[in-house]
Amino acid sequence: MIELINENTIKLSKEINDLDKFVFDFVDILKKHTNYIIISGFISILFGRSRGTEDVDILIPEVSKTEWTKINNELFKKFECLNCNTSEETYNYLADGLSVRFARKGEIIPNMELKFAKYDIDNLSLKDKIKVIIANHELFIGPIELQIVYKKKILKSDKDLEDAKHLEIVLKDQISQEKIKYYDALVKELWKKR
Amino acid sequence: MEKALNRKQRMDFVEQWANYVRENKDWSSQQARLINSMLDNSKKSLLSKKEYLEIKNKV
Repeated sequence: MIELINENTIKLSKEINDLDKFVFDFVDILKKHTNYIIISGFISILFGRSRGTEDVDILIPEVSKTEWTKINNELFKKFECLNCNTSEETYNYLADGLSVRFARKGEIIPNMELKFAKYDIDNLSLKDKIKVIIANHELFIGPIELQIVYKKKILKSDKDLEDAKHLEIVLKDQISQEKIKYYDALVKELWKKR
Repeated sequence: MEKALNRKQRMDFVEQWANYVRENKDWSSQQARLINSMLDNSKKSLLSKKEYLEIKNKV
């Protein structure tokens, strides 16, 4: 069951799966230090899409090396980075606009693909984030209308179009058509500027 | 032609399942079985981190 609490909060009743548990564990650490949003495929999966994923995309605002070291050190207690070994390396990757992948220690899948917000569209997503309440957990995701527009107008792969269609149907009562129009115009503009 | 038909069939299923999610409470237990078994299977993978990243970089 999906319930719109207010413009920026959705309550979702669902059985929590192992991918959800992985995401909750990761963001429980992250949220102590920084804002974040989950974007892309996991949003469709969170709302019921009949597929899994190996990786979950997550954006955080750009932070200083000192701040990142604190975050990284705490993440390293439970997770390992698949593509870097040290805090310095992960920071350098992030600062270069690349992503770093964190999995539970000794595992590869699932993993969180974390990036600094780099483009205007990333920062817009962070600003307009949506809180999703699931039992006693909270997650922040990018705005659903923006996800739909981005998947339909920019990414356009079969998987993205299917994800967008799923969200459009499942969240028919929650989606704002005004926001769809707003993001549609904005995405076209911001995409050109990238 | 076959690709277009396959795409349509997939999209029809997406629509059918999304409507099921709207109307039925048990969708998440079905989805949890699918996702949990996928993740269980992935733990049996013999891929190293390096091999996994090489595959991801090619995608």
